[in-house]
This record gives sequence, structure tokens and C-alpha cells, in this order.
Amino acid sequence: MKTLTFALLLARFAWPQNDTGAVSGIVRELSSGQPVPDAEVAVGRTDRNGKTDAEGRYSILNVPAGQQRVTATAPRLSQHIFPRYVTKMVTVAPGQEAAGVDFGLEMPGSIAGRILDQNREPMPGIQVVLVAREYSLGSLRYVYSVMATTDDDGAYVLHNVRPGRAFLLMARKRERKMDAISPAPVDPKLRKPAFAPTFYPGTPQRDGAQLLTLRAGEQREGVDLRILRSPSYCAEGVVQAGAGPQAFPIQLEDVHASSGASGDGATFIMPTMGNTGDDGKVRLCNLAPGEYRLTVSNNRTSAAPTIFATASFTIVDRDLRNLTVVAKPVVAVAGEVTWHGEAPDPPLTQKLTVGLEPLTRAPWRGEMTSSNPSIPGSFAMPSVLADAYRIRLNGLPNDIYLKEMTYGGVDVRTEPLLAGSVADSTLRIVLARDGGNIAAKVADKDGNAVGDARVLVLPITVPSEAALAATIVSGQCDQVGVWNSNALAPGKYYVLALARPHDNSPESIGKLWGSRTHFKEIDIAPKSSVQVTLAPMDLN
Amino acid sequence: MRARFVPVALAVSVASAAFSATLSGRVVNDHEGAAVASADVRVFRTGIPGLTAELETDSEGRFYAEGLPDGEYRIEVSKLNHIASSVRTQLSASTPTTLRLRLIRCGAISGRVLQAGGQPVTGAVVYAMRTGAGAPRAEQTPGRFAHVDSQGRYRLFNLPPGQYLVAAAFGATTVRLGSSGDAGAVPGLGSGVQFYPSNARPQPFTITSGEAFPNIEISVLPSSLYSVSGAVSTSGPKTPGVFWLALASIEQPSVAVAATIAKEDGAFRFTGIPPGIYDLFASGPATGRGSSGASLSKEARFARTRVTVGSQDVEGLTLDASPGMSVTLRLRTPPSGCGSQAQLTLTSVEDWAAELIRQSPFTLAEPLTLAGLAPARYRVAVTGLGEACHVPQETVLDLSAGAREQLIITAVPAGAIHVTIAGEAKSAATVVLVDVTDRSQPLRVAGPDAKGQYTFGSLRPGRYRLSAKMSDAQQSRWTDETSAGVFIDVPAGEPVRVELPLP
Repeated sequence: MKTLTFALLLARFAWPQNDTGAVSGIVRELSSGQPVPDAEVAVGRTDRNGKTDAEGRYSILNVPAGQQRVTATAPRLSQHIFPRYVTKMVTVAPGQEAAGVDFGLEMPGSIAGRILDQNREPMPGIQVVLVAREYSLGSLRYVYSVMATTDDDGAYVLHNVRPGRAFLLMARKRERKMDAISPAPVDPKLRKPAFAPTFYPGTPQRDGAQLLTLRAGEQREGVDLRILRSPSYCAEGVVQAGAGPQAFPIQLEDVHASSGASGDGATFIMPTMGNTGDDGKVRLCNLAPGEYRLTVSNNRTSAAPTIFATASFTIVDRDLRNLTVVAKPVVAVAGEVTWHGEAPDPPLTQKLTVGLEPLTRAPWRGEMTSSNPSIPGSFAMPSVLADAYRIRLNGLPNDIYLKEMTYGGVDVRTEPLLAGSVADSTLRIVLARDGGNIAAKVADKDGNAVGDARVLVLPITVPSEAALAATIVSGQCDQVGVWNSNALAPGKYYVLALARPHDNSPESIGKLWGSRTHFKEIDIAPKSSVQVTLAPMDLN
Repeated sequence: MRARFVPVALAVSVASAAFSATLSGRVVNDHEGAAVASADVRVFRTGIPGLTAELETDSEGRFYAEGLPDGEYRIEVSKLNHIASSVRTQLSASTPTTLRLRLIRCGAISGRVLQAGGQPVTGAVVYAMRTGAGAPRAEQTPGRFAHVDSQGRYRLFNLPPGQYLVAAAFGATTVRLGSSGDAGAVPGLGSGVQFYPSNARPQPFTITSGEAFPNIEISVLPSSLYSVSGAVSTSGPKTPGVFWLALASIEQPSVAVAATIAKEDGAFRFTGIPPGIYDLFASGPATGRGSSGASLSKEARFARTRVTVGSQDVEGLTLDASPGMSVTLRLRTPPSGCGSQAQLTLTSVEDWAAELIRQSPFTLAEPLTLAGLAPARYRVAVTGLGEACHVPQETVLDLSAGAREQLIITAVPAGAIHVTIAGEAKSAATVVLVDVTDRSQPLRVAGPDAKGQYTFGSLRPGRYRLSAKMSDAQQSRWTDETSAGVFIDVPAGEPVRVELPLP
């Protein structure tokens, strides 16, 4: 049966379409080298894909010629084991097979343990969350990774823990719902102690917490934690929106870490939900000392809210009174795309896609925050919630670079866009055509090409690790070690090649920062191409 | 941040000469008489809004508060994975009050889901299905369903007293499809629902108080497997988006045997389906997805048909999806006692791999018309009627055979039972009330006051069993003994008075 299949494949491949080739290889588990059957291998932006056989082999035919992103995804073993994937850039030549495109998949790890209270009683229904630290938009942010809930024995298992990455582990009691006016006793001394969000191995703050780093496939057990108790406080206040007293949907969350997209994907954890009273009043209780975020909106079925606000408050050692949150109507974000220097003649026909991505929450259904301006051109996003956003730009031609992007004077390439924070501000996108590019070739010291390496380009003048993380340009070489950058602003850069992927964690960025003076220095002149040959480095 | 993290203060005091009553007590579990640590003790003073004090039991199960104002109090004791208990008591400066309360622990069922060769059935979802009024139902409540891990292990908990069937859904389950957008049959096993120990004779587990059933191994055996394929068509205007389909056994429709997503042109194909008689459900276009399946818009279309899988593949099925139906609901209420605003919740008894749940505020005087309903069997719940008013029986809105114009739901005044415990030490008793008409209703646990009295109010009219035992009795597991206690038919309106002897 297998022979027959193979013969059929050969037969089909004997008459390839003019402009297609093939990709084949083996998918293995990285540390053991064992073949991975049933892994899916797909060619990006095409419907060409295949699955590995019992020996981990795959072969994909009729792949369009040119540079293709090929992704191998681990088989879906279970609901909780989110598939891990590896991508490669492969240059496919017409009528030829790119053989030996082999993938090494890392098996995710798991962390198990029990959550107890001060009586050593198991705590059911506790949220256990891994928190990733990463530089994003100019600062160190704490974002949720995987999550589990304890069972009746206080036990939890966190699946799909990314190996080699340092995480904090946090346990907390998060209620699904809250009352507008909590019935908690007026006197704090008559209240039950609050459950404080607790970091492993038993501290209320991120700073004293221990980092957990797993090996591929490691099943770490016994990560037990006693949850901390603290005095319990309330925050009282009112939500207003200008149109008289009314009830508003509200969401409350601690801000030790936040939901949102990160380099590892996106994890969203439901905040505690509730409504204010009909008079807009709230009394939120069972709060341990710490910082909280209250989000206010108006409820509209299957459409985004039209008013919105977030308010941060800090509980120290007493109840908080007179908290006032003013929900703001949606704001219009106007924008313009302009050329630095002369405009091309004839003008470009492509359009840019400008998207606003909420930084710490999932977008609402029907929340439309993208626009497709011409280059040059103006655009408007008429109803943006007064929140913090990351800007995604797509459709920038290869020979053009983003010179500036500001909103109300803030560089929103390296800081979040705070919609409505500055009156009458415009999102200014300035593009330039005088950029140069880097043509990199990665080879070992004997001159043999090294496929799949990452090439990183770092501006020489950056003041901090956070700024470095915000300005790195990187790409992946194809199977013969070739990578060509898109247009970059003229200037001086460090350039290096890494055999392994990098990320925006403080560990990864710290290594780059610490050894940056050892990297190759290049000067990109306007409209030039700089050829570099790099040997892959190991920063460990 | 200058946060202070302190050892837990278990005793509270209000240092004032005017307040001098003390309250103390101990909480034990019902099945062993052992201390229940870390239970919440909430103290409410009659006539005063809000909580007077929040306490927590220590490692010996004890709680203590002093300096409380004289008066009548309600004390609620609760803990996760336990049935809450409440007691009324008089507190006065002259006599310290000491309470003894029993908490009934919920049960747990755990084990593995394995193939014949002992390999785990990864990706399976295990449900504890409560038997009671109507067909056993699968709930998406924490603890009552569980994902098996990579070794095939599962653990069900938070199971109040009652009878449960245990079943594993494997392969292309609704939960997996809804969570990941992609779910397929297990090689060699296909998709299906496997009850413990067999689908022909499911074994019920009886939980009365804190039972744990370990090592309950669900074996999924290979079966001959077939495919079911066809296409969904719509006669109306073409809307973007795809249809979601579910195949559910006609005996047990609350968990689908398999779920799948149709292609853009409406073509669908289930693989790995064991022989059986099924209902095939289609709904779409999907606007998103969640753990109970596709999210649907108000313009969603639906179809259902009966499919028999015998000894060959079923091909060429055609389903014509039609717009949803409209039904007008009216609520008949007694002349007084019911609130004027209620909340209506419709949930599908059948697993359509779609979010068919509908919720709407319900103003009692006005008929409510719900549009866009699927040709499904819906369970109708009316909540928020107030303590004095109930919808007596579970109401089912059956649209499976076609539209109906209206549904009348009748509410009646709530009933009540005044219990008086006879004999010595009457205040040291624990009283349990079980709804026998619908055993899936929560159990109520209470402690009588110093005169041995307690009132269970806001009862749905129907048959109940009332039983009592000494709070410090050591023997266990009595809530489900049908021999113990007295049966009481609670009518609407007038309270029933019962004198209950202690055993």
C-alpha cells in the first residue's frame, strides 16, 4: 500500500506545473530525535499541506515557487496540549524538490502542584497562572501564559508550558461575578481576611518570586503554594457618563499581569464581572492590598460599547472611598500617511492596513479599529474606545520603511497609543524611500551555509533594553542561509545571526544587550544594499 | 507598596460596652464528624442589611466572635465543594451561644479513560450526568465535567448528593471543536459517547455525603465505524460563514457523539461514527465559537433530521436550513407575591454544537416574543420571581416537530415548612430537606433555633423528604436513606407545620 502511494506521488510529480516545486523532510521531537507522526506541515498562505507518516516523513507537492513560510505543527494530543509549531523559510525552485526540510518540535512541559491555605486545607477553584515577562512597546510587561484551576483537592496541572522560557507562577482566587454593593461588614476588622494573589514560592509581589524554567517535555511536580491572606478592604465609588445616573457593566482585575497578545500568542483571562447599581454606585470588597483596574463600558449585544473607561486604583491599608470613574464616549482617531522627501512617480497603488490592537483585553465583537489608507492618504477610525493600543501596520512595500509614527507627539512605535489622551491629535505615519537593505548570508567558520538561522538587526544608538526590544528587526534565513531585509532607515546597526529563535523576554534581550558590542557593525547608506556574511552565535 | 500580610485573625471583636454577646461554634463534616477547616461563616443580623461579621473556621473547625449586639441572627456556613448550611439563633449578652454545624461534602469520581490496549483516550471529556426529572443531563459546571490529561486521567468533583452516570465523549467532541476550531475522530475509535461501564447498562453512582469513587476506568472499545455526509443548503439569500453540525444519540442528546464544521459550500462529513440512531443538527452561519460550540447571530438558520447508521456509510444527506422560529411566552402568576421582573433562560436539552442559550428579561404583565429559536427542545427556567413565587415543574419548550405559537408558564405561590424538632437537645440537630419531585434541585441543610424550630421558606410546591439527626452524631451518610425521615407534600401558599422526632 505504501509503495503504491509513493508511486502515485512520483507520477504526479513527474508533470509539475511550470511554476511549482516540492518540499519534503522529516519532523522529529527535538531532544529525543524521535519521529513525530501525524504532525501537520503547511505552506503559509496556500492550501498546500500534508501530514507526517509513522516515520515522521512528509512531502508536499505543487508548492508555488519562491520563498515560502513552511510550518510544522505538533499533532493535537488533547484539549489542553495546545499545538506547538516551528516555522522555516524555504526557497522553492520551479520543478525541483526542496528535500531535507526537517523540523525539530519541542515537547511542551507541564507543572503540577497543590494550593493550600493557612490551615493546610486544599483550596478548590483557585486560578493558577503562568506569567511571562517580556519587553513590549518600551517597557517590561507581565502577560498571562497558560492557566489552570484547582480541583477539590487543591491540585492543578498547567499543560503546554513552553520549555526554556522563564515564568512566574501566580495563584489567586478570582470570582466570576461581583455585586454592585458588596455586603461585606463596614468594619474591616469584622471581615474575613482576603486571599492575596500569591507568587511562587509564597510572596505577594512579583519581585520576590522565583522563576520557573522547564526543559523540553519536563513534567515538574510538587510546585505547591500556600496562598497568602491579608486584611480585606473595599473600594467605594461611582461611575458617571454625563447622562445622569445609570447602571453600567463593570470588570475588575488585579494588575499583577494582564491579558493580551504577546510573542507567545495571546491569552485572555476573564476579569470579575458585574454591574454598578442603578445610581452608578459600587462597593467592591474582598480586596487585598495591591493595584487594581476597573473597566467600565455600556452593554450592547453583538456590537462594541459606545462608552468606555478604565480606572486604576491602589489599595494600601484602608478602604478607598470616593473613587470616581467617568466613562468617555468613543473617540475618533484621524490619521495621515505622508512621504518623507519626494513622493514616488507614478504614485503607489498599494494600500496600507493600519490596525489598533487593544493592549490588555480581547477586542469586543464588532469593534472595528482598522483602516486602509492610500499612500499617501488620510484615514479615520470614527469610534475608538478610550484605551491603550498597539498599532499593526501591514502592506508596507519591501523598499519602503516606516520613518515616524506619532500620536499626540508620542512615538507609538515604542509606546502604546492612548486613544483620546490628547485632544485633536492625529496618528501621523511618515514613510520614506531612501532606505537601504541588508543581504545576509549565514555560514559556519568553514564557509558551509547554515539554514534556518535568525538574523537580528539592532540600531546602534538605543538607550535601554526595553528600547532595544522595541526596535529589533529580525528575520529567518532560508534553507541555504540566505536572508534579505526589507528597507531599513539609513544609519548604523549591529547585525548578528543566532541558530535558535530569540524572544522579548528579559533573559533573551539582556543577552543581546550585554554582548551587543561584539556584534558586527554596519552602516547602511541611503538606497544601498549591504552584503554581510555571518556565523551563527551562541549567546549562552 | 506598603502592603501588610498578616496571620489570619480568626476571632473578631467589637470593643464596645454596648455589644457583648459572643458567638462560637464548630463545623464538622457530615460523613465523619471531622473538623471542617477554612469554612466561611457569614453572620447576618435580622433586619440589618449587609453582613455583621465574616468569620472563617480554624484548623479545628472552630469559629468565634465577640462583642456582637444582642438580637436575632442568621448564620450561613459554606465551603467550596460542600453544601451550604444555615441556622438561626438568638444572641444575648447573658448567654454565650455555641453552635455545632454539619457540612455535607460533595462527592468525587475519578479514574482513567482507556482504549482496549490500555492507551489513554486523549482529548476525551468526561461528564457526571445527574439523573432526576427528565433525561440525565451534562452540565458545564466546574467539577462536573473534566478533560482527560495525557495519561487519560480525569477527576469529577463538586457533586452534591444525588445519582450520577459517568460518560466520556471522545473524538470530535463539541468542547474540543468549540475550543480549538478543529476536532477529529480518534484513530481506530472514531467519535462517540461511552458510559461507565457500558452504554447498554450504565451504572449510577449514588452520592450522599463526601463519597469518593476512585479508579473508575472507562473503557472505549473499538467498533465498526462509518461516515455520515451530505450538505446543508439554504433557500434564502446566501450569507457568509459556515454551518456547524452535531450528531447526537436520540436516547442521550445532551452530549453529541460528534461535531463538525461544514465547508463554505455546505458540504459536511462526520467520520468514525458507530452504528446507532441519531438526530443530526445544523446551525449557522457561525459568527464565532466557544466551548459549547458556534456563536450564532439572530439571522441564524437551522435544520434537523433523523439519521440511522447501520452497516454502511450514510451519504448524500441534504438539510435545508430555515430561519429560526418565534414563540410568545406568557407567564401566569398568582394575584400577589410574585415580583414584576423576572429573568427567562432557555437552554437546549440537545447538544447542537452551538450556543443556543437565550436569556431575556421578562416583565410579568407582558407577553415576551422570542425570535430566532432553533427547532430544538429547550428547557425553560424563570428566575428572579422572588422568594414567594415559583414555577412548579420543569417546563420544556419542544420545537423539534415544528413551530408553536405560544407557551404559557404558570407560577404559583411558594410553599414553606415550619419544622419543630421534638425531644431533648433539640437545638443541637441538623435538618436536611430533599426535593423528591426533582432530585436535581439543591439539598437544603439547616440548624434549628433554641426552641428546635426552623422554617424552610420559598419552596417549590411538590414532594419533599425531611430528616434530622444530632449534630454531634458520628455516623455518616443519611441524606439519601429513603427509609429515614418523613415525606411531606408541600402545597402552594400555606406553610406546612411538621414535628420531627430525632432518631
